Amino acid sequence: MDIVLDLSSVDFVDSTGLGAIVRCLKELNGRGQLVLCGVNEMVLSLLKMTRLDDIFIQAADRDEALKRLKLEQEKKAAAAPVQKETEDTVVKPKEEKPKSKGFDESLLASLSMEDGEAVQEVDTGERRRHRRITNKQILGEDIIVYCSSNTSGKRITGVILDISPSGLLLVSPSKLSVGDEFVITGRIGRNFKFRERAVIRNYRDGKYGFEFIKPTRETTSFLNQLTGSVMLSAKGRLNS
Amino acid sequence: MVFENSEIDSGSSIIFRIPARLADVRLVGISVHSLFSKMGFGDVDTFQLELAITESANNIVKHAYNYEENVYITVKFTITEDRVICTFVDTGKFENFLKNNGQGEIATDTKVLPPDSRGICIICDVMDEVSYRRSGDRNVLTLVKYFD
Repeated sequence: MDIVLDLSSVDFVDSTGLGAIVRCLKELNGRGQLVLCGVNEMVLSLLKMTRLDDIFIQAADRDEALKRLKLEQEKKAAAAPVQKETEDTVVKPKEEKPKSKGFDESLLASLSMEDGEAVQEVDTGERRRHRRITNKQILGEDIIVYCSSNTSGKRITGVILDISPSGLLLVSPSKLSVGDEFVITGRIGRNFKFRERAVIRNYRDGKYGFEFIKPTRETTSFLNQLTGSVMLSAKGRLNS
Repeated sequence: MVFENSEIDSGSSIIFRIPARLADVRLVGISVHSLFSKMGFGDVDTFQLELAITESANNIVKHAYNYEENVYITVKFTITEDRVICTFVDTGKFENFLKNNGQGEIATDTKVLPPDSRGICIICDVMDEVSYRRSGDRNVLTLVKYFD
């Protein structure tokens, strides 16, 4: 199901309104496209301010929106068999996605408009312990990390797509296997350096989901602060 | 009386006292849009002030008052030669929404705000100064925007 949301008569949107639009996109869950059209300059500035402009397809008016949808459907149909053939066999390097042609699933999964939400559902049915924050939300630039394997001696370089106190999502052109264990070294911002053991828990579309193994207190504390996550004790009380 | 609140000085300011309901917050948004527009602010500044004021009041309704009924928000707008100062006073729960940003109680870099705090991110983005404190049994949120 595709949705065209005509905002041409809307001259004011706040975070609650944005939340409703984001929830709509989440509900679609990749089964369709959401196109915003008639977005005025002020609302567009808000989308940019909140860094949501990249995840929505935008069109000037309804006609253009419908054309864009048709084009997207044609592209999808044409790309489907090729994608299936290469899936699971080739690890692709990260590619720059053109603007306004769709949304980044990892970014979408990290979006949450509800204050105090401690866990997130993702499309795999996994229930997350912590909020994730994307690299764009941290620095607006790529965070590069270096991974070395104690067992195989393999050394790789990757780019963090998102990170939480539990682990991180990494894109790397290297071919790795689920279960591989690495020591990940990196830096976030000017001052925070980390070196943590992590194991690959999942792989999809060139993205590796790493889980930290006994992360240090400093890293956990920093990432908790960065992402706004809270830790719950066994009794369900908040640990600051 | 609005002026009984010690956090709000009488003077050349405009004061709103509104029921803490989301629907009424929107009315304040519309009112300040009209007010700032008539005072000669540009479209962008007017939109940004309306946005910050709406987000702030929404936060008070949702988090300080937790949608409680029969409670009020007092908002004071002071305009000086070089800035607009918006002061929000409520008697709800003090929940320092700036505490998790890793920068203490005054946010200056919105890039490190947690992703769920989009409203706060917007406020900090469009205003030049944001502070939030407890004063007696009241919460005082102050937003400042300097003229270009």
